[in-house]
Amino acid sequence: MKWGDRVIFACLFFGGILAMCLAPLWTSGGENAQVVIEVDGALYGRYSLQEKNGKTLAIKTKFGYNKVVIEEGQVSVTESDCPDRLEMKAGAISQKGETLVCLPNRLVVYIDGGEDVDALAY
Amino acid sequence: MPLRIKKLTARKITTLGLFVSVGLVLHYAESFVPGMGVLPGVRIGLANIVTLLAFFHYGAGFSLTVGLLRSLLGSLLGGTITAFLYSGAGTIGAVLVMLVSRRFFSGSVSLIGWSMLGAFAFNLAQVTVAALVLENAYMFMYLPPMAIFSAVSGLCTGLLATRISPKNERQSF
Repeated sequence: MKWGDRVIFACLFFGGILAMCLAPLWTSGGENAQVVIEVDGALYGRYSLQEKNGKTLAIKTKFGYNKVVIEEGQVSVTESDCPDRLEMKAGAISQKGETLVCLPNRLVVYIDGGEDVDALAY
Repeated sequence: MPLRIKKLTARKITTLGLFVSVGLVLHYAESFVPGMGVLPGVRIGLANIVTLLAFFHYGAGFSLTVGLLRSLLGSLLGGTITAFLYSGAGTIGAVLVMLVSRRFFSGSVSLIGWSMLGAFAFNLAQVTVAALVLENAYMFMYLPPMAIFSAVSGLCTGLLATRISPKNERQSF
């Protein structure tokens, strides 16, 4: 164990902790928060996080099937044919920057600030 | 430091086979530990001990071969090819980073440090590939927890690899 090893460990470990503590600074739930769903890099849809009666989306694409539920200011994936079910195990997300991802199905569900609708086409 | 792409001797092939099989067994064993709930292919990294040992004793080229073969076969055994895209990129990144750290920082950094840097590079590559494939920069939000994770797993893997290594660094075929 040389001194450089300790430096590397400290940087990675504490840097990571620091970054995680700072993260809430540039994320926010907020009224303007929108849920963005993308499949294969292309926009599938944008929905309000605060939808009155909640919203259920059955997303069936050539990559697979996922069921996304927006309810009470949170989004989660309740059904999925994803091999490792990671996007289901992640639970519910509600903060900007948080994501639910199923890589084999090329599905990404995340929360955005949602200011301009013009930012849709990218 | 010469790249060892000379003759494929029987001894080379056998050694390669041994490393890859041990790596695969560890890969399979660690797949039972529940993942971080993030991206596929994020794991404890036990199997990386094998890649590390290969790197330490036989050089970067050999280690790269071992790592890629193990990733490929591991992914196929797991049933998906997607995982290979990410762990393959991760392996390449990790070996490159370890190569650089050995080349330039040998004085201050030991195998343990290379291992931690390699682990981080592995995760960084995975996240980058995910961000590219999904065209989503929010993937990089996964980096902080991954940094913590790679520090710890890199440390353990490095320590283990150092413990079970014979004293002299370079073996040869």
